[in-house]
Amino acid sequence: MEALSRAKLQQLSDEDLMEHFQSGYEQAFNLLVERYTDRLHNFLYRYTHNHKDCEDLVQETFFRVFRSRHSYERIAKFSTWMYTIAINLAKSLYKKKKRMTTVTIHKDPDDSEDRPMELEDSNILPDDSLHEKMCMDELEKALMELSEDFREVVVLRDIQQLTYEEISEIADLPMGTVKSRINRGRAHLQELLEDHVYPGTISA
Amino acid sequence: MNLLTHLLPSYHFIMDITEFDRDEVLSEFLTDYIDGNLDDGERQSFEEYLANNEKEDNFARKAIMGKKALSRLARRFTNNPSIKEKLSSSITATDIG
Repeated sequence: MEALSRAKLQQLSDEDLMEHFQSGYEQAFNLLVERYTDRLHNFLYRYTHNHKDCEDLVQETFFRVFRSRHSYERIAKFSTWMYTIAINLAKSLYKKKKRMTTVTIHKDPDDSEDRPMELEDSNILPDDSLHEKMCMDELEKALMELSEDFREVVVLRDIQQLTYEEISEIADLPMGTVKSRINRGRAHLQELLEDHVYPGTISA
Repeated sequence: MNLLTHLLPSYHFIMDITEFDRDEVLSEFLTDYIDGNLDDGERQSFEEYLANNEKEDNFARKAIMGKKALSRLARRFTNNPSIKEKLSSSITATDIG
């Protein structure tokens, strides 16, 4: 295949880059890495909530892409194929960690110190950056409390902004299930947030 | 055990089962409503349906608010350059190979 300048390569689609890479042109792979490193990290962070794990998983994902480049077929979007690899690695890590720990995320009702932080404070302006950060922390915490089934699909849809078709492919679920899980995941997240802000007001 | 709780192990901890769980077409409507993909007539009909079904209305409200919360989180991460800086050009084919 004809060697292309970096500028020309940058204009190519992911799938074209992958084709060049399959033909032995490693610069095309480097460009895919550049395109997707931060997106993949952000995606995995919402899934794992741990930057170190994310870095390892991003490296491992690109390693798998590198190693399995010849198994990629153009019928699938490159991003879908890559996210599938990443999500499977994240799931494996999650299972491995789950086996290694017995720590529970549930609150201890007997521990008076173990309470969600009260966010409502009339002295703090809504646009205050600290308040914003606290809200985001609560939001991330709530997201991590969602079950894996729901977290996976809401992260893919609302954070990664993938289409329902892509999510269906990645999660290997029928479209109807994807949509209903996304709706349930969002509603459950909101319940968790309400429970964090106004603890005890949500009925079981 | 209810079929839904069997299919979705954590579901019974979450909230009441609604018509959205039983009726796929209704669930599609909700998705399109939240995504803003209904035309005026469809939206009006769907809002009338919600107005007459409290449990479903409550679920839809939470789903909309949940989506808004996730959008805020997505914006925060998109605007956070630290992750990008940290990772920029840290992984190359040479590192992997």
